Amino acid sequence: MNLKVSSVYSSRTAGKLKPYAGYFCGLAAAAIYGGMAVLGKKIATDLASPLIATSFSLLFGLLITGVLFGRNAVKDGARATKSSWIYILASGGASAFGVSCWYLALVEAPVVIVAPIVAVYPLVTIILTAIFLKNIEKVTPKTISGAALVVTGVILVGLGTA
Amino acid sequence: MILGIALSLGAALGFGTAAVLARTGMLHIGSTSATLVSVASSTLITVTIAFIYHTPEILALPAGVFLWFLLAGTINFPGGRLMNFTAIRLIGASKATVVISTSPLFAATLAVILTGESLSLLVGLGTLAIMAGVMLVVTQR
Repeated sequence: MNLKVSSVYSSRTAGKLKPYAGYFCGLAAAAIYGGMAVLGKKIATDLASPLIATSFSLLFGLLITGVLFGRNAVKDGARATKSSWIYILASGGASAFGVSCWYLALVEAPVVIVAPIVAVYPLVTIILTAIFLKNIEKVTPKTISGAALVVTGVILVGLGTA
Repeated sequence: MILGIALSLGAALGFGTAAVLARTGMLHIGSTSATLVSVASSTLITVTIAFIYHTPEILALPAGVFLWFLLAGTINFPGGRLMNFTAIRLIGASKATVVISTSPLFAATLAVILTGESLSLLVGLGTLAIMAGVMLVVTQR
C-alpha cells in the first residue's frame, strides 16, 4: 500500500516537474546555441567558411553522439515504429536544409535582411503544430502572443547587433 | 536580393518544420536516439553540399582547424540538439521553439561579456520583448 501511494506520489511529482524540466532544457539549448554563435563567428571569420565549419562540426558531433547514445538508439530501434525513425530522419534533413539555406541566403543578401526573416521560424512551428499536431498538442493564444513578442525581440536584437 | 529573401524563407521553413517532425517522431523514440539519428541525416546532407561547393578549400584546411570543429561539434550536437529535442519532448514543439529561439539574446550577452561590445537601445528593447514573450509562454497553465 505504502509502495503504491509513494509510486503515485512520485509519478505526480514527476508530472508536475516535467514542464519545468522542459523549459530548463529549452533555455539550456538557447544558451548553447547562443554560445555557439559567438564561437561560430570566430571560426567562420578566421578559419573556414560557415558551411565547411558546420559540416565538419556535424561530422564530429555525429561521432561523439554515436559513442554516447548509440546503445540507446539500438534499444529504441527494436520498439519504435518505422515511421518514427522516418520523422526523425526528416527532422535532421529539415535542419540541414535550414542551415544550408541560411548560409546561401547570407551570400545573396545582407544579414539585416536575412536575420529578421529567419527569426520568424517559431511562428512557422506554431502554424505547422496547429495544422498537423492538433491531436498531440494545443497551441494557446498565450503561446502565439509569446512567440510574436520573442520574434519581435530577436529581430530587434539582431538589428541592434548587426 | 529576391533569391536571398527566398533562401531566408527556406531557412525559416526548414527550422520550423524540423521541430514539428521531431515532436512527431519522438512519440515513440527517446530524445537521445532522436538526436543521434537527426544529426546523422543532417551530417549526410550538409557534408555533401559542402563538398559540392568547397572541395578545394576543404582539402587545403590546416589540421589545427579540425580541433575547432571538434570543439564546436561536441558542444552543439550532443549538447545543444539533445537539450532542444528533450525540451520538445517535454513541453511540445510550439513552446520549446519559442524558448529556444531566444538564443540571439544569449549570443548578444556573451558578445558584451567576452568582446566588450556595447549594448544599443535596440538590443535593450529586444531583450525586454524576448523576456516578456518567454514569461507569457512559461507562466501559462
